[in-house]
Amino acid sequence: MILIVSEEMDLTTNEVIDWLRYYKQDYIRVNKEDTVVIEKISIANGKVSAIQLHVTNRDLRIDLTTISAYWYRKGNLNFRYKLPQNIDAELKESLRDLLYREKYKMMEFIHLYLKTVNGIGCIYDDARNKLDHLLEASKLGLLVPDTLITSNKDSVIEFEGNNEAIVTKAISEGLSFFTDNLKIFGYTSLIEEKSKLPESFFPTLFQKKIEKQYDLRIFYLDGTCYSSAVVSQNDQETEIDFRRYNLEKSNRIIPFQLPKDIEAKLDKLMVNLNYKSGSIDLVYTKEKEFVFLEINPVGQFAQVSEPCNYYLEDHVAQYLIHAATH
Amino acid sequence: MNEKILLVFEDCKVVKGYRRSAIYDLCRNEFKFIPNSLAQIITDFKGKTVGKLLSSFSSDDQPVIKEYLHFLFQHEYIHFCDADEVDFFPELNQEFKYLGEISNSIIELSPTTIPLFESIATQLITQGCSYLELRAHEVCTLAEFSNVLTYLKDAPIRSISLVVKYSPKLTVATLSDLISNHPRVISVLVHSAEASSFEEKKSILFSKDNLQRLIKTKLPSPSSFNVNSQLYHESQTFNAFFNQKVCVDQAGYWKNGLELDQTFGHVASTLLQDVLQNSAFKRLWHAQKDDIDTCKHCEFRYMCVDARTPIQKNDDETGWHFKGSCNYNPYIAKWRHEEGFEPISKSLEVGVEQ
Repeated sequence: MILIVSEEMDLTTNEVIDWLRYYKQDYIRVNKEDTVVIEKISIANGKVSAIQLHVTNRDLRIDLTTISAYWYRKGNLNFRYKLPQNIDAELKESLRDLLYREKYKMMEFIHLYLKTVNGIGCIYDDARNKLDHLLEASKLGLLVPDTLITSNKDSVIEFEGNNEAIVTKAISEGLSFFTDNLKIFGYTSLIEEKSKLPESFFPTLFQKKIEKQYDLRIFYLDGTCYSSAVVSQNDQETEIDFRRYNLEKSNRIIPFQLPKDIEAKLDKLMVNLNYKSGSIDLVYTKEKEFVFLEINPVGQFAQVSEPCNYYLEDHVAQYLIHAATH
Repeated sequence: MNEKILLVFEDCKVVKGYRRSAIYDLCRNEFKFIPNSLAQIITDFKGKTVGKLLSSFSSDDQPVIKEYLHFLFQHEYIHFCDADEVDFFPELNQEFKYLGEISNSIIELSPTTIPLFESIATQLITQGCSYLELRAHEVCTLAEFSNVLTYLKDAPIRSISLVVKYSPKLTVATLSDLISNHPRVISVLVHSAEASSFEEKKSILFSKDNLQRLIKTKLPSPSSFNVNSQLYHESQTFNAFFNQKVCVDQAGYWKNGLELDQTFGHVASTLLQDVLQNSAFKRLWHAQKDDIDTCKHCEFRYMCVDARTPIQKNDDETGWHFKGSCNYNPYIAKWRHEEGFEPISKSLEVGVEQ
């Protein structure tokens, strides 16, 4: 049995499941919107003999020890419980803390167990660290952008002095904030007016701006890189004639073949970081260099799969089936 | 610039016709006509340097060639790279994969097929059918439609189209209710109605025409053209209209298409999985446009979902042909309504073959 942890609205999960069905594989999908109750965890004679969960809203019972492959796509197993009513308010608060800690440790145990099951990903992949990835990539000889985290303006000015232009981006996942009258997306953005920076501020990441020729999006799965390039003619130093071109804004995404040595380094990196799969961002620069930007181990892959006709959803399904039988 | 390599974006495909060619823009879902001379240049010089391209033409021709390059660049069909970067750009994977043996189906609802519908639906779902049309020649009640749709409630079917015969009980209101309970119904066509009307929000069309008139096999027209990656790749090896299609007629017989005489057993006695084992059933699936007379010289051949039934030639000949002439003649690149149109003549076609 294959277990998939995901979210209700995730289309990629639907498509992988379509392939699993096609191959007549049994699977269970649990979404973060589902309510899960822990019925039994049993440890005896040096092994876990049962982890029984009840998905109450669908009245579905699963014993995780029968799971032969696991795909952590996104979301979580949402364990719900009730606090006793009609008790002293302060006691209730303490009890709330205790039950939360108890729940946390049980869920941690469950996720640690699932981490040992063959398959793709675990919930801890979601808690990745971009700085650690950058360092590991750099250790393997991949080029990475010069990076500085600082909380004061002088350091930014000094850093910029060494680089032609600098950008900033979130160290974690970046902000997505929506209200009716305010929308904020956490993009990588260019630092244009450093004079406007306050003398000191919350520690922020700055990187040298890279003069890109192509953005590269790579879906990595168990040793194979499925690469794509986002090609904008505007980034090409090309002139056919002296007319002005009025080009459309949308870029084209086309299949790309990374040089073998870059693929080998990315493979090493993913193995070192213990990721079976992930989305990797690189840049191919105007100086003809490949620069590593970041990895998202639980990344989307539809935007690589579809334009490049890679059928990645099928590859993921086949990988899960293989994992379930080995 | 002369040492730059000319590259065609892999989602832009040149399809050569007899008189002119078309560039299919698979990601942007559009196409443009280009002269055959330009199509030839793209084929010959893709992956080669701009210098080599230009030097292959006389100085008299150079302005035309530059104009061509300008056109291709302006429409974002081409890009350039250096010689040491050519290997970065592999060809687009040509594979066409579909989950399942059957992708689309038309079931005629009748007193014979309605009692068998649960079995038909189960078999279609097992074979991966995603797109379903339910068609009723005679009046069915709302309850009958509702019952039938209930069998599809939890099925992984993407869309259901209903074609129903008018009766006073079938109104926009009652049909809207039906759609609300079965959200996968994407359209309803009511034939033989007292008056024609269209309810846009729920896509409910009432038509005074009878069913025969509405479903009469249509000749290819620009409205049946679709430029997309899936159709393009499917059409390379399959007949996009018949591939992975199965129909059940009023009498309950499995068929390739409802307008065809050939049947492959009765639903009550033959399982779909056995129909699929029968190689004769899949014969039309493989009638790809590249093997059909005239179509193989047509620049629209990988965007045209052609509902006509191809006829296999005699044993001593390979390939297929259609009875009757298309509304488009690729040998003169004209549609029937255009001035100077001539139907496709046999002599012209034979001339092409030589």
